Amino acid sequence: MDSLLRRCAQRDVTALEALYRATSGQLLGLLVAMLRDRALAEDALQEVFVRVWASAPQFDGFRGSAMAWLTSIARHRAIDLIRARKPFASLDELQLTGLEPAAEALVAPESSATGNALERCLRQLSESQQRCIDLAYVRGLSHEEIAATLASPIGTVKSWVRRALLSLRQCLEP
Amino acid sequence: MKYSPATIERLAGEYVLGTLRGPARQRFERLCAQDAAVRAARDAWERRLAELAERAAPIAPSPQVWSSILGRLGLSPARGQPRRPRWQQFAVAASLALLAGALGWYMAQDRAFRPVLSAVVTGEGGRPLWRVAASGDASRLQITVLGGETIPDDRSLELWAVPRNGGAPVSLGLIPRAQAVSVALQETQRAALLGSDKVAVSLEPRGGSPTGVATGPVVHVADLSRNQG
Repeated sequence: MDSLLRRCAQRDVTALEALYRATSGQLLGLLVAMLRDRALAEDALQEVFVRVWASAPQFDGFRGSAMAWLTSIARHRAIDLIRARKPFASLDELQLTGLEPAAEALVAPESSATGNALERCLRQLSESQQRCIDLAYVRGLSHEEIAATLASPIGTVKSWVRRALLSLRQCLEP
Repeated sequence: MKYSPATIERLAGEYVLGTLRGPARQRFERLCAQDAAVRAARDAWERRLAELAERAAPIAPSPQVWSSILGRLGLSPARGQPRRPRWQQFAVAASLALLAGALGWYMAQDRAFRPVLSAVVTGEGGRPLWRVAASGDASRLQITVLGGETIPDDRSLELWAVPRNGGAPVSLGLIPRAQAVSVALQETQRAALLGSDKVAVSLEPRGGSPTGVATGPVVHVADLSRNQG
């Protein structure tokens, strides 16, 4: 996939198409989980690939996998869209319309754990810390929204997040 | 403001996780633009957490997403537009067929449709906004939305040729909000474009400058490149 991105940098449209075929399903799944709106997520997916085409020459500076780079572009686009839209009218609305129906869209961590280092490190976190990381990264929730979802004070959520990130960093780079 | 390495590390983690919001998020993005060490901390977190994305179940996109991407990149005549009523699809198909016929005839007349003058107008961070391309004899101009830019409803973006002899910029028309437009240029516009090395985009009242000269701020300038026809 990395070589496809390098070919995109040389303006090879067939490489962009191959990259799209290989990654668009996973990226759309993530965008839908974050935006909870299929049409909006498909628009965002378009913007992601327009961006990928334009920014492909910068991929070499990233020093990570092509999928990690595409994921970062998709997630930041989704977070920008989440920021730009009206805040949820109320946290009740968020809980009622947002989380429960989409919950089955998430693959249970156990089933996706193919022994990768990140999943192993995540399992070392407390259950609350794991929930925070999942809700923030995969669902695009803010500190406030996580606090409402977990019915916990925001200060507690912030410290769960901070400690989870510290532990993950130590675990992943001993 | 100078941050400690530990603070940069924490901000980078929260930024990638998505919990850094509001003005703090924008401050961090500015910091990334200025400081390679901050970018490196951010990218390291992108790499560490990327596999979390696999927790979302894949969803196959609708077929029109890919054709819309090609359309927006100006790589294909396909203009996939999601959720368009059926009668409009027919109208678009019919007009595209007409256009293709007209184009074939026109191209048979001369090679006028191979762009020899083109420019890509970019925004922040080199993000492509629009592609501007003139046909071989500069009698037609095509403006294609790539990334585009959001502006208030009561404003329009206007494209100008900036003559290299220092003469007043000449309007080339309005920039479409979506998709692409192809416009016939008048003789004064054509001469101005051929005598220009740059195009500029200004923010004008809706419908364009009322006076014929740019009245609003110039928001973008792009170099015209000349291809061998």
